[in-house]
Amino acid sequence: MTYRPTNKLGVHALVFSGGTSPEEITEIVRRTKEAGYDVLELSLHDAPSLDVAAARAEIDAAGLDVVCSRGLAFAADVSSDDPAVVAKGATLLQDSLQITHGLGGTHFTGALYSALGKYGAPLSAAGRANVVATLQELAKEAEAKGMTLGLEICNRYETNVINTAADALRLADDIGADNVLIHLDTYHMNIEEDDFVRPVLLVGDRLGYVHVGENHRGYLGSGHLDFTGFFHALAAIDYRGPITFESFSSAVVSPTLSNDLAIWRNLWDDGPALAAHARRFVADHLEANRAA
Amino acid sequence: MTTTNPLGVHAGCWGFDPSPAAATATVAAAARAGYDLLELPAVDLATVDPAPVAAALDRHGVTPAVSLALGPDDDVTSPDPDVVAQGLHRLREAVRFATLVGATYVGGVTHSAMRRYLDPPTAAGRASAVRTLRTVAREAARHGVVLGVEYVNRYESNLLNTAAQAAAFVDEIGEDNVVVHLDTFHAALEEADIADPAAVAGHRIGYVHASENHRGALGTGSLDWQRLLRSLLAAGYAGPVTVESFSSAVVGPGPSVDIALWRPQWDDPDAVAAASLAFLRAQLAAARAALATTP
Repeated sequence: MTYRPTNKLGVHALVFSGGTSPEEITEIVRRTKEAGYDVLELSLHDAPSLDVAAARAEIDAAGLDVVCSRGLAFAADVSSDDPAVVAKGATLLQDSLQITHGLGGTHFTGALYSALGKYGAPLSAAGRANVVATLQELAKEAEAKGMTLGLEICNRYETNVINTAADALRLADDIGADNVLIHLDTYHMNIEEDDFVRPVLLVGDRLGYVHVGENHRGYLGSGHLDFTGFFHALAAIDYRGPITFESFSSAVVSPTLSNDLAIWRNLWDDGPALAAHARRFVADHLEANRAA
Repeated sequence: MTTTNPLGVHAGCWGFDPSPAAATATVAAAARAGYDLLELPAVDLATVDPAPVAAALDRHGVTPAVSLALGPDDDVTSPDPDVVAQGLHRLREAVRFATLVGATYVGGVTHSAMRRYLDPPTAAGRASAVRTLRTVAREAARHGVVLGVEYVNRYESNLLNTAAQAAAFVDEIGEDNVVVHLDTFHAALEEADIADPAAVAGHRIGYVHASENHRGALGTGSLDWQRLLRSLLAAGYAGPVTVESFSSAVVGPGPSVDIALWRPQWDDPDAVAAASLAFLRAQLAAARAALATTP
């Protein structure tokens, strides 16, 4: 009998298409379903072109869950010292939470705490306090909607706020809301963590979302990451949340996100084949650990 | 098989203060830790006298190597000829600094600016970098200086992120004294396999930065050191292996921001330098032993 993972498995939309126009959403939803996934992750970088009601109808009809993700921008950054910039960041977060809710999603995650980019100075104490205060408010709004927020731990070139699991737990402690969970991403862990096991054990039952991506963000398993250790650790903490595959290639370009993510190389051309393979790769690791 | 790899350390382990007093103290610290080689960031020769550090290197028997990273104002891939000219000037000055301190190697981010690019590279920008480095290489050859092209991760260059790209770039320059400079921190981010650089660019690799996946003390991260070192030694690599580890506890605010160091990963540079050298020696000995027993 074919093994069915108990974790819901997801895929990032940018594996299939660079934007979220109605035509692109149709394509993304169809491809996600065809590759056997349960969850579609939509980045909200292209939110103005997104028709929320139409997208929700397609996602619902396909029987998929949706998770939304985003990072902020330097002009709208809740980790800034400047109250006007913080206010813009807070508005962006509230709008994004509303879009996620409108799509029928219960999980909104990403670099919700800073711009997605290379900072020109370390995080200031005032900036960190602004992150905490803004996310406390957002967590309350999310709670009223039955939603969860994720703090995605990103590498040093994408944020100066949290680069390690230890950093993220301290931030989550300071926010102090039960619906703010930690989001681990193996791509970022490769740049910042000592290994792929201890961060998972450290986060434990506060882990709410997982990105699996290779060290170069290409084909899963074609790089050098210790997925055996990582999936063992997920089993050890009995993680039951979503696991979403993330991969980027210059073959699929988002006018906004590709350059933000520094995607210069062509690591694959065939998104659907890549996605189907990653789905098998993740399911096989989960099945092996269930048998262990 | 005996190794002749000189073992080095990047001066940034003790901070990036270019003053003669600080540089002289760093030479002494590197020698005390047991290193053969010290990598010195190129200084601005208009404001810093290289004579004291040259004397200190001589006194302590430490071999220098020189590195630099171009920036937005002297980016040799720029469409602006004035910016490219600045880059050419800075590279020439780095070669001049090398000759003044007795170094025969100048490497680093010599091919583009060490910056977060917001657009893909252009063919014209690449051609400009090739032309500029060819000019510098020919001049450097007259002083017996080798020029290194260090490929870095996607957040620090849009031009060269892998050994294969760097090898093709070096081939395009077409000068014998231009080599690929491998940095394992960047390779761990970009390469499918840490043994790939030796496989695809083995004979072109002329300088190696030994750095953990997170740039902390060697051996504390996830880098597969045996796979790396066996691949390099098997490819016949006998050049320098230079430890690169930085901590915001030591590095000043400017360089910390340049390389996105947001947390202190250790606080005692002497201890890290000594431990990293011991680690590297042990790993090299193990790699040599493994290769000696390979049928």
